[in-house]
Amino acid sequence: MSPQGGHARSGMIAEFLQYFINGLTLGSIYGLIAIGYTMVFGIIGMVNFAHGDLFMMSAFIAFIFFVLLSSVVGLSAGAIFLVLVLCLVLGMIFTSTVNWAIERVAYRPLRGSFRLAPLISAIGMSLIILNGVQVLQGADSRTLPVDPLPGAINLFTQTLDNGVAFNVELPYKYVLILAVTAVLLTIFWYLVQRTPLGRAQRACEQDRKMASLLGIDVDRTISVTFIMGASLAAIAGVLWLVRYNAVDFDDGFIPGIKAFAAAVLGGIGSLPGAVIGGVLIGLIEAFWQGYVSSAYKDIASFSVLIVMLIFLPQGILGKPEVEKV
Amino acid sequence: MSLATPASAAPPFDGAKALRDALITTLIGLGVFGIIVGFQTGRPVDGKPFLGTRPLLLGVILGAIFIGSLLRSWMAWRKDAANYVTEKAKPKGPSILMRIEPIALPILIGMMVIFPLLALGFAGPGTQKWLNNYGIQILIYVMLGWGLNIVVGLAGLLDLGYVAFYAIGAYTYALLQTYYGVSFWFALPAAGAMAALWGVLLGFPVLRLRGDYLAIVTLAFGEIIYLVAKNWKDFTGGGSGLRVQRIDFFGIPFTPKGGFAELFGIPFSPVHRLVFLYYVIFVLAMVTLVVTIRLRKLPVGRCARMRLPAVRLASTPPTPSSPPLRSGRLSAASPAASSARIRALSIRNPSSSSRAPSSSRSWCLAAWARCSASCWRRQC
Repeated sequence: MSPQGGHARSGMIAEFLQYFINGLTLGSIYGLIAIGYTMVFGIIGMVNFAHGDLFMMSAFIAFIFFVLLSSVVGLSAGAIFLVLVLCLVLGMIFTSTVNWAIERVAYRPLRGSFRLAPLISAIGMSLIILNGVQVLQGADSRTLPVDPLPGAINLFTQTLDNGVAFNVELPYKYVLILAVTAVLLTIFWYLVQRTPLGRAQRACEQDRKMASLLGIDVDRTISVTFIMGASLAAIAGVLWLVRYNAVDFDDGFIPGIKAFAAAVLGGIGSLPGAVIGGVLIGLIEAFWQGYVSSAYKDIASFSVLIVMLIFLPQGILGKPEVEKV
Repeated sequence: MSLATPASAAPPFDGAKALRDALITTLIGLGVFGIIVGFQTGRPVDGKPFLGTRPLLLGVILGAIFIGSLLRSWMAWRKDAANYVTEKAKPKGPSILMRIEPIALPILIGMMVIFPLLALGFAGPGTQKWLNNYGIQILIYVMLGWGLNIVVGLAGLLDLGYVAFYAIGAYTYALLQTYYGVSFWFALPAAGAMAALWGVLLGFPVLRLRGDYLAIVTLAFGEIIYLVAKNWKDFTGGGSGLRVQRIDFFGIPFTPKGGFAELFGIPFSPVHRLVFLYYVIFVLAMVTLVVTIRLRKLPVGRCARMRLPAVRLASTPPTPSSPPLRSGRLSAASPAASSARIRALSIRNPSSSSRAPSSSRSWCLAAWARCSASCWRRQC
């Protein structure tokens, strides 16, 4: 079964652990994107198809800032750390602007239209971003000049049957990804559960008309939701860049669907659910890639999505939805 | 806008406010386009990453935004001012499209019939391009659109994986041809049947879902078909695809020697095949059209047109005879037939690269434009 053949048995635990680590970090990125889906779906009941491509665009914005800033401050370790932080902040600002504008231009005018109109508009936005970035930034992948966070913590070494040492490594960049995800999940969970803004969002989620009658600015709340989703997509974009050192114009679509799968898996509308779903999708992908076949790794996540939607549409942490007729 | 003050005269145009708005809009435009348009990444030049700038393009875009915003303010003011003069809105009749439809339809279909003759007569050296790109390709899209209209327009199911059936049809033909040497005319119904079978298979689990979830599941299904076709290299040829025979005239090949041209005693020309292909796809498209129109009048179509709420659909277990499933099956057959056509072109082999996610989405989008229009019209 295993691609490693004969050495698989002795290195099994090590191998498993390494796949686990890979899947966990990949899943964290999916989780961050999934929060954007889940929040938007929760508040206006629309699958924002452009979100995956927005994530890709944010990675490009971060890439441009990385190149721009690192040419000013240099490529020493401290400078790169500073550059990454700046990329994170600037990427959030610019991606939020883009998403705000998309909502304003492509979704808001269609809010009173028939149900599928914003969805189709979102697919159009997704294509515009995808092809726009392809035309503007080129069709081949863009690689960072340096690995921003090289090095890894060696968790343990296991000697295989043939005497080769197999290191189970936790790269520093993975630590960064996990830490950023945990911190952001906490911050956003706090924002949604404990602040007036979050209360307004939850009110709009339940009943938009009633919320507006009670003095909530629904348009503004929806805009803020898009901005929050975009900031998370921007952070996911920076983390993606850190993890792979490269970005491609086509990197948005598949992670986008996977992140939506994650949002559904965790229960749409639930923030911790989105991250849990993301991690699960990441793990499934990593294990499938490791043990079965890397060519069909995407099929595994999509199958999970289909099975999940059919048998457990409310997800792990979601509430079963009652549709009014 | 106009409901606030019952003033008799329109307020003057507030130029300062319009200017301020335009400046703010331009600033936002700078935020949106500044980075992604203003900078250009490229391949590294001697180890250093390349980063160019595009001030001119950015300037043009921002200028357009600025002028557009000013114009928008001005037009809003004009509209507002006009409301002071004529209080009444014009009564809205049926849209112009709906009024000209009875006349336009026969004219347009007649034009489609004589299109190849026009192309032969006037296009000169570009005949093949006209027939192929502007004739056959468009008719394939038309057929795809009509097929999608059955699912989305009639049954109200947003199927984002529709294009997967197109792929299934194409691969059915190509695989039958490659492994069993089946000719186009036998593969055409087989492709339709295969796609219909997949439509039924997918329909059973998927039609329990409501609106958006259905969209996502069908999208995932479409991606799975694409990924299988791309990755199963031994069977489907992977990214380089499969090569199939060109279409023949009911068994008579379009070849320079001993083919169609010799039989009819006319000089050989590669255009014959394209003209024939055009009419084949035209007939198939017309069949789709007639079937769609008839379908609306059948009980199954009427049932689908009522657009039962999702809850009611969910509470009736899907059986092969329940309306949505059947419409799924019907429309699945339609792209399959049309995709078997594209293979017959054999100019393009069914390589999955021609069905990259983005292009499959744009195909769907093109088809949606039509079907969402029809949705909309029926709702009004």
